[in-house]
Amino acid sequence: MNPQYPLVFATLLMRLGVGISVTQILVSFFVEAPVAWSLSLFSIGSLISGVLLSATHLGRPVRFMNSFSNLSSLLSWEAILTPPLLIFMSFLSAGYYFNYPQILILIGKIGTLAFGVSLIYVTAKVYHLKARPAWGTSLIVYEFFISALCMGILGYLGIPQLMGVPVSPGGLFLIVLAMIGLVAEFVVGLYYRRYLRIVSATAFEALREKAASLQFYLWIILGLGVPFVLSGVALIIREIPAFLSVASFLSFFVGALFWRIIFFKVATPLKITPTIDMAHDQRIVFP
Amino acid sequence: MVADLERGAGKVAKKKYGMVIDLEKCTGCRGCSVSCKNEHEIPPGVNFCWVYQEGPVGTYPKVSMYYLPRACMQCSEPICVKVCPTKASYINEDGIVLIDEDLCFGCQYCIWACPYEARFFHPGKKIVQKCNSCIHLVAMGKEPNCVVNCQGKARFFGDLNDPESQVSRMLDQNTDRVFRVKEELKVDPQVYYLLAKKVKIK
Amino acid sequence: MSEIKRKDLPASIIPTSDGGRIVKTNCFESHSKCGVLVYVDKNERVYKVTGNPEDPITGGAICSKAQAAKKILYHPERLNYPMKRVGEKGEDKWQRISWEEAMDTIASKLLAYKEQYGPESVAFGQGTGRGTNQWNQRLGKSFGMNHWACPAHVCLLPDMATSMITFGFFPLWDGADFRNSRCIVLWGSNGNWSEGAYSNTSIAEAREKGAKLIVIDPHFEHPMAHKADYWLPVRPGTDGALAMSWMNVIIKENLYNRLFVERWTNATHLIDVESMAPITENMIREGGAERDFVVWEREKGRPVGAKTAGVVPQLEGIFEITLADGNRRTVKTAWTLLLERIEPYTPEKAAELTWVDAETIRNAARLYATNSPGACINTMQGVEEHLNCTSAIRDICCLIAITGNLDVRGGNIWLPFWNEMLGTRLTGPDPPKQMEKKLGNLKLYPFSQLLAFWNAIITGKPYPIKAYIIVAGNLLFSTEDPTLVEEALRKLEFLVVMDYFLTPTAQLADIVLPSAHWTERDYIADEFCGRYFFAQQRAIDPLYERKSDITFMRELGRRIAPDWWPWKTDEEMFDFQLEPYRISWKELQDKWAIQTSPEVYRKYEKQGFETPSGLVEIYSNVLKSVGSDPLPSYEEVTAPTAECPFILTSGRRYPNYYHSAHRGISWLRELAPHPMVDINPKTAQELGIKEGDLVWIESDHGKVQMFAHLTNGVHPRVLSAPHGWWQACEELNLPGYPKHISNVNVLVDSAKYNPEFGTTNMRALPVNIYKATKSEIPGFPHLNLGRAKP
Repeated sequence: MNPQYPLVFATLLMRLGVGISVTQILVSFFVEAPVAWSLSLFSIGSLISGVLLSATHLGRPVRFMNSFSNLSSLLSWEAILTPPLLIFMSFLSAGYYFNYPQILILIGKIGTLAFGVSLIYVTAKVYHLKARPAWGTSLIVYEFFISALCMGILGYLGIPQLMGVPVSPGGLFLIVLAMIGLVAEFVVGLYYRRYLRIVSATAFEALREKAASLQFYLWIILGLGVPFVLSGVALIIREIPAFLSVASFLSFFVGALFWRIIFFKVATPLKITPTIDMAHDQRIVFP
Repeated sequence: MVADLERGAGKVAKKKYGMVIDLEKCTGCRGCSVSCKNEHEIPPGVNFCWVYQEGPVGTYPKVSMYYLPRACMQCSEPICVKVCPTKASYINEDGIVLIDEDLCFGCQYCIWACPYEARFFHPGKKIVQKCNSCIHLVAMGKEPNCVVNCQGKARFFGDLNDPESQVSRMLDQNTDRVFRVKEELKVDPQVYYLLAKKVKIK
Repeated sequence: MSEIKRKDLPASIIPTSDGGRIVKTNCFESHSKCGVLVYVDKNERVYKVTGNPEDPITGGAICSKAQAAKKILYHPERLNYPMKRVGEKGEDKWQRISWEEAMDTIASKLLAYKEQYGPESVAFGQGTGRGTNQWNQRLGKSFGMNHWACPAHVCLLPDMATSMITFGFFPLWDGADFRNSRCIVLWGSNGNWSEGAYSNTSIAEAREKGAKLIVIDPHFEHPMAHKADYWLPVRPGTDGALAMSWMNVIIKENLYNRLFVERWTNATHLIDVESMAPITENMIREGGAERDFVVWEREKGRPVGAKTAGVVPQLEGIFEITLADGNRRTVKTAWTLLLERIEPYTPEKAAELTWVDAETIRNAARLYATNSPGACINTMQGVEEHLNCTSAIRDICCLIAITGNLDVRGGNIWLPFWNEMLGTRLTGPDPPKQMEKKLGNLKLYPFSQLLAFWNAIITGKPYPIKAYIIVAGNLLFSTEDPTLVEEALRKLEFLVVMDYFLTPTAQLADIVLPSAHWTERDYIADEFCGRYFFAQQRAIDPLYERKSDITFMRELGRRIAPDWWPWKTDEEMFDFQLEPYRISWKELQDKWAIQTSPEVYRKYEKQGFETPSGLVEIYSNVLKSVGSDPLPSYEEVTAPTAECPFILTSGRRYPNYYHSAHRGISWLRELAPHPMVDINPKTAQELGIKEGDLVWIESDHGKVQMFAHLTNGVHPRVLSAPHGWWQACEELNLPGYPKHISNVNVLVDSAKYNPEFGTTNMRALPVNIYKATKSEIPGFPHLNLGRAKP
């Protein structure tokens, strides 16, 4: 399938926004420190951009409001879950800024967590389709979650640096988590490649095509390798310099972009025609 | 089929329209693709009805092949209806899957979800379209255009719920050759194929 | 429709309640002439075409081409007005002129040429025919010289003439009685795609009743090969060897129809072994007829006139006879000579030559023979377009004869229209000195050889050709050696081309005339209509200033030879054609379809065979008289060389195109968007060629570019390439192929041809194939189709 670039960027931005939010919330449960409300605003902005971008890929974006209609459809659920998530995220952001009472902030956090994780799940499952052999496996759901995690952590560490805002502590623990996530992604990636080779010749061909092959290696190097190495450096020197976290994040983001592109390219359709059984020659033998 | 409908009128409570395509008669002429374009307004580059060719497989000269025309399978458990966020895709009371052009906003999710590649994005109207079994003709008691004009007289359309209809009888008389595409997906497609007699499939 | 009031409509035009109408007529995109219903709305627009279930042959089936009718009718690039060239030939600068001016110019120029250079300085020509053959020939004859400069030497004439000299009629094409047959052999013929609905419905019906099917074609992607009981992928050009081996099996296993052979063929006639000439009655007795032949009377053990009453002739034998003049001669019966000919062609020998395994050859032959009488062979250009076509077709004709399948139900039947079409009633008598003046020295071809024709234009020898009027023909793509053809057409002083589109041939014209589509004009559907005629009537009046080809020919005829063309309207001319059937054009229009040839079989029992002997000529007296081999034989055609190790067969059929037509129609072009050469995957791998790669195909005569399609359907040393690729499709943004870059005929050398018909080697051509490093297709730089965006 031709990569649908609005959707490629939309899902990345959406994952970035939700991922950072979730990371921020989880960190706040373990570490007592002022929370950067500007980061939460950034997450909201990222999520909204993603939503708007995804609307532009519609043939008729004006009819956007029709998307809430079908409870059997995961796409409807994507639409349904997004407003409450945004509300909770905004509420939480406001809560940080205006110093709401703890109980309200807690509600905001729980709401954001619940809807955020659900949205990630639903968005991942949307792609889990039997009609495209490359998308017919749960591996893609796992990958989506892991990459959201990595995106969230690296974004949480890197974006504030870009915004000129102090990083919250707990960074090294997050770094370890990120490294684990990157390794997991790598493993999933290898499994996925093997899966494609077994399940669909056309999908595997699409992966091995020159441009796609290059993008695959770039994903491994930029998306996984560079952040892993940089994270390792941070671990060793026991601190996270600004450039390191920014570079990690940007590298990962670009790698993830390539991965999303490949993801579309390998989504060749199912082979419709049943395979011929050559063992039986049906031509008549003259008696 | 006209006779079928007249005979079956009032006798069968709920219709389930479907097709039988006899691959022994299909010669891959692709007239059905053009037939469909003749009947609907379909832009260049898009074909609701397409003819696939499997093979020749094997090693020359021991080879085999067949043609497989495909429009919409008119599934009874359609994935496209399930995944459509706007409910534009729906299945009507006669078992034909249709698209409400006023609701569809062209997200193309159904195109991804259809295992049979039956749906297409109309670049002009900016919505998704597909074969609708020429319901405007069927409503008048006529057959879909691809059935009417088939050069090999290989296509048949009718009510699968009516055991006396031509399509039902064809299935009964050819049980050794009947197959459906991707049955394991459990979408219950209503297009049945009769395999070419000298070809065996796995 | 302006003149026709609705109440005066014939019964075959049905007014509809919305102010429009439905017209019963026939499609003209192939010879199949399928009955169609054309839907016209109240604004005189054609909006739909479906099949007509009342069609006695097709029952309403039609193909993609008929259904694309409105795309062809309203195509923006259609020629709409007569135009004359301003600027250089091929510069594509035209000025619109009126029909009046066009006709005046053409008529006056032709008559002036006739006056100054003789009628032979003007030629008329065409492409595929389909209802206009007789009128095109009549033009030539009425003018004073029937060059008939058209590609008949590779299409129709070899089949038709060879069967005429063998049987006196032409039963190989629509004469194959599919519908009633017990065993159908498709031999070098893909009627299922080219004459689609006609062939499909008839063959399918027969097979439903249990008929067997044999497909003889080098390519497995023939639509019936995977269904056939036997598929024989002959090495291109070896059909003769296959037919000889079938005769070997059938005769040796005693599966031939001995009664028919003895009674209705000249197999019993005595042939002098030295001269290979037949013994005639006057040779064995004084006062004997000069044109009667001689057989060996079994009982009395002596030679007698074949027509002598009460004689039972011996079928086999070698005898010594004494002639009336006292000389002794050794003679053999034609049958004995045939036996000698087929002796070496065992299935094993044929297997070596044809690359088909011996058991399949043997079994297929048996299948055909044991289902006879009632088995038919349908054979067309796949066997014709070879240097050895005469012998190959002769072999097949003899095969049909010895199995007794002539003019029997389910066999190869005698359809009288083929004798009429080019007969003197419709085309007129031959002009004086036709045979002396015809160009080229082909033995069995009564028209001018195209090669000699082009050379006459270029060199002026043996006499100058000044003008050429082509109606519905794209000679640059229909015949071999387009470089030579282009040179000739550029040199030609006056070229007139009438066509739907500005084809490459029309581009070189001095005057271009706009042809009306079948939806816009009236013809009689007569040839390849089996036992029927139809009123192929217009659905709407011609758009712009388009004109029916037949109208043009009639009006031109009236100006250049009024005595021959007395009809003031097309209707009057059709009435003339229909006279023997006792029906007028108006009556035919009313009925739409009439049966012209009753289902009467074995007509030869009353009429005999219109051959020199009055019998089926196993030994061909006509071939002997022109110095060719009178008996079945097999000749090897050109073999591959080190530089050109592959065999190219060209001219494969498409169901959505016909020859060089329709690449510009988007609905049809989508179905086969690029010229693809079929190659076996093993061979492709050895040459580093992948699916969709741009390749060069090169012969010792030229080279072309096409895209490779890997298929297991062809032999590793055989390639299959299509012809007719010139037109772009703007709607789909797909390119055209100018300067013959993908014109497969560029590969064919016009200097090598068959002596009887001038047929060239179009289907067994030694070639080489290799990847291209640069695309020569303007606007399409891709070296692989995968790179081209859909």
